[in-house]
Amino acid sequence: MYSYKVYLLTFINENTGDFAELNNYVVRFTMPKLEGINHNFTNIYFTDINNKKLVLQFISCNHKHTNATIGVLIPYIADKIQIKMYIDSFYNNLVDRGLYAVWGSRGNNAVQKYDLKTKTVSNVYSGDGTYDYRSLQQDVLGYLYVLAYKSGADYKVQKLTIDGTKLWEYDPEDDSSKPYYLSMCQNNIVYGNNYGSTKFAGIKTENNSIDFSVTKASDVNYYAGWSIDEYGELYSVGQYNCVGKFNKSTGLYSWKSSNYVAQHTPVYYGNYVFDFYSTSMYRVSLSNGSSVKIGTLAASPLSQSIVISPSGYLYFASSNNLLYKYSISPFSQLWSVSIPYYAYLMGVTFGSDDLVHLWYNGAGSSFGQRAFSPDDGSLVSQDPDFSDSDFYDVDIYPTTKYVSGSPKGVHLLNSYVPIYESDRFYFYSTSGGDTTPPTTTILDTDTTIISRVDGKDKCTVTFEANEPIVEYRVMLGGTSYDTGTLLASDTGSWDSGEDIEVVIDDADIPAEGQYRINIYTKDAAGNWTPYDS
Amino acid sequence: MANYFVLTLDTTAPEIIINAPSTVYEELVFTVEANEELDTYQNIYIIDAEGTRHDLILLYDDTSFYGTVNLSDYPEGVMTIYAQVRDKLFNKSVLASKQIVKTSSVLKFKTFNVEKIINIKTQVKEQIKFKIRF
Repeated sequence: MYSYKVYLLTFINENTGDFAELNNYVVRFTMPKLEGINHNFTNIYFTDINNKKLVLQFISCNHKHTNATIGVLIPYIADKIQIKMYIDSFYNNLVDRGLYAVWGSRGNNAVQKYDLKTKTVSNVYSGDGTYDYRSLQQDVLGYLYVLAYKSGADYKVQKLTIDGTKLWEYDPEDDSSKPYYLSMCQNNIVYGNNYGSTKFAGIKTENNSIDFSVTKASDVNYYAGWSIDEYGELYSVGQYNCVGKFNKSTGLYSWKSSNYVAQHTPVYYGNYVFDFYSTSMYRVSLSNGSSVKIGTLAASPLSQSIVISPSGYLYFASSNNLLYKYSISPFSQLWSVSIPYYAYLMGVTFGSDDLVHLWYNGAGSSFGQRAFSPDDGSLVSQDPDFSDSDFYDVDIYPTTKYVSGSPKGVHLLNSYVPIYESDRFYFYSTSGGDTTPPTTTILDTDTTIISRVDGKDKCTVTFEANEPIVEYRVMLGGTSYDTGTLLASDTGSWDSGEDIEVVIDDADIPAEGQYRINIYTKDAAGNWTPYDS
Repeated sequence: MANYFVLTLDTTAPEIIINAPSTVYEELVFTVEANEELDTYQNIYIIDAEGTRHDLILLYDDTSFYGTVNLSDYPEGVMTIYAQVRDKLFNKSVLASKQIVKTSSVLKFKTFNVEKIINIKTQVKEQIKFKIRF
């Protein structure tokens, strides 16, 4: 399947409803999941109204989650601006999803793909014979990044297409910046730690140039794992098992949590990162690093085997061969089920059927997928375990373990970048904030008295808001948008002044009498119309 | 306008009364009156003494219906008026009814001077005649 789509984005000022004035803003928008279809972008770019290509700031797509955030920089002031977003060559079937592995024995290098559909293995790239291969990362577009290593501290990073074409090779002269392993790929940058983790660097994947390179700060012992939020901010596990927000320009932490809250790459969710230490689960505020122990786990998770679903449930695999589901708030175990021996959660996806898909590799040289019911963890389906030494000792640690003759990195192409059919996205500035709620005005009611008899049992009310809105609620009684009885609601996008029509049915009215009907609207910043007292 | 309005749910049916004389002759004048404003819908009919149904269309006047029915084709005896109407919100009243009696005819006397009649009776006993009008 080969498709081409153009999305026209119009940026609207949330307060006035006019075209937005843009001045060095990063425009972000998130495309929600398109149910049932998995898309992978292979090319995406933006142009302004003059077809000038804009700088793609970042693409954020947590491979464990289903939403992608794409940012572009608007580098100048414009009263009116329209941006075309081009997306081409996306695949909407499983053919090009796959599990990729990189082999590391010198003279026997290869990047291989395990086709998830046909369950067959094929070589996609035969490496340079004098290099060992290790560490594999994959970006949201599907490109592969592998680390080639040769004795004598000769490292280089290569970018490959999923078909095995080498696009570039990064081989800086500054050996100290050369990554020893690739720890993460997000936001159009592949991140790597060099030998001994004394340096951490980000390499821009567009032009294979160094984005930043820092030497570890005195209070940073090592970078054990990395996470990144939708704004492109980095969070890491650092010295003494703390979670910290990492400053790329200084190598220091903007803040770091209390000691001993982290044993693994922190999981970013909402305004927090979550991590565990032993069996203690911690929640760390992104704003100041304050940490709270939110509960105790039944078992200690395997490193890198903890995820939080988009709806906020915690899943982890433990060394006692169980998969657990926890609610975060309140913190409580919901269920646990047996999983294959030492199965790491290589990827957990949450399909349109709401099943929990566990992609695992076990220490028993197996790889497979199982789908569990989110309700009770019961096994719904499973692929036959794939037993092949090619997939033994796969790299799901940020620190690659080099074992001659075994694959050195495996990454599941699981970049769910869904496509949302919309011609309008709203403008979010990176500074300030909209705290002004929309004013909602009822324009007309076709009647204010109804009965339960057909023909007289409905009231149609027409209203508008004075700014673009994303949601409305029609409430019977109550004194706020979330009190009273909900008669009608919807989410979407409506322009300022756009008529919205809602029909109230007698079935929603409890008994004879008079009722105050309040209509509230919410703008893109989340402000609700207040109660009119 | 504001962001709220008051919506009323009215499920109460109108109460109605049939106003008609208890005895009628060649015509019937009656009204159906309600305690609130009505819709123009009407279901009004008479079941005559022989069980025949006569559907009627009365005139509408906001809170009532009214009209005159020519009873010349109706048999004598007890007949029943039925009426059902509805309010502006289509809440229907009960099917109200009222029984009335139709008689064949009635004598109507002109005004007499009783004294004269007595005199006449006294003086010309065999010659008294009444004018009878049907």
